[in-house]
Amino acid sequence: MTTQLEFGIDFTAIGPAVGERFPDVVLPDQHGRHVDLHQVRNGRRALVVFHRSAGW
Amino acid sequence: MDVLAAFAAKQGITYTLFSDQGSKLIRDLGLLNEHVYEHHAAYGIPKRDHHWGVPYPGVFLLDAEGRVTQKRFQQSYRERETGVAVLERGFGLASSAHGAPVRSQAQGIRVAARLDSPAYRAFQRLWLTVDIEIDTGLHVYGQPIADGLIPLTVEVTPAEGRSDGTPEFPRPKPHRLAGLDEAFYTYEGKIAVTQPLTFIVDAADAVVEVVVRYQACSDELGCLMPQTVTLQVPVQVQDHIDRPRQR
Repeated sequence: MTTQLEFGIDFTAIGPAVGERFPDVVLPDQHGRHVDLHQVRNGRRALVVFHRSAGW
Repeated sequence: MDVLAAFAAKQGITYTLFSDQGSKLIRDLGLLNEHVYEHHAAYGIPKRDHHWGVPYPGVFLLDAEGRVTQKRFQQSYRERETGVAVLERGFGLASSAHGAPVRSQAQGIRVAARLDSPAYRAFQRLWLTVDIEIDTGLHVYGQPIADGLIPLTVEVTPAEGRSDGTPEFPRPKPHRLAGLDEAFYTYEGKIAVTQPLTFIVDAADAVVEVVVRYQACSDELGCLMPQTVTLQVPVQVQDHIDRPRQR
């Protein structure tokens, strides 16, 4: 098995930048309700995780 | 959504899971993982079309105003951090969930080494933290360093099945001796050195060997003999939630 973990991707240029407001997100949740990220944060700090899939 | 509901139920997840049907948000944010096939090739995994559309693996930390304060992303879709790392290194909170520290001491210093977690899963990035406490009145040398002096080094002994990152040292402070123009760079008191380690096979419980080398000196008494402290930090292997370990 190969063990490569580094591929030279520069994440500073990928996705919302540090210091920017995270864009508005309104998407269905696991219960089928439409949820607004910034609304559900309710003035608190938050962790937004990008996960590859809940299916594999 | 059904997939998310099943996943949340199975894993006991109560926080919000967003369903990004067709990877629209992922694309809009520029987070579509364009390296996924390249990574399959590197790992010797056959190309799987249903893997296209996944995001780069990582997290955004938002402050109370919703601004991004940190991006913590991994190069490989296989790799991920522990919750402890996100809490401690991201949010600056103290977790009680990390591995038990292994302690040792030698002339002039006390050393404690611990991992984020007492157990690992393959491709989970664990941070090793080595806390070093130097006795009052003594200092050890950092880098840059003059010839003939021995700097503080913290090394993990390489092991098969583990990929080790680069250790991160705090910045040493300039230290001047009376009558000398040259400044030395030294550490005093308490410092912490951290290093990421990623287990790439999950065959068995393991031990991370940490070797600390240093020479402690005092302005009045000069230098003590160079010393080496070796610590053995045990870590257990943990089964994946959904599938048995690869052996």
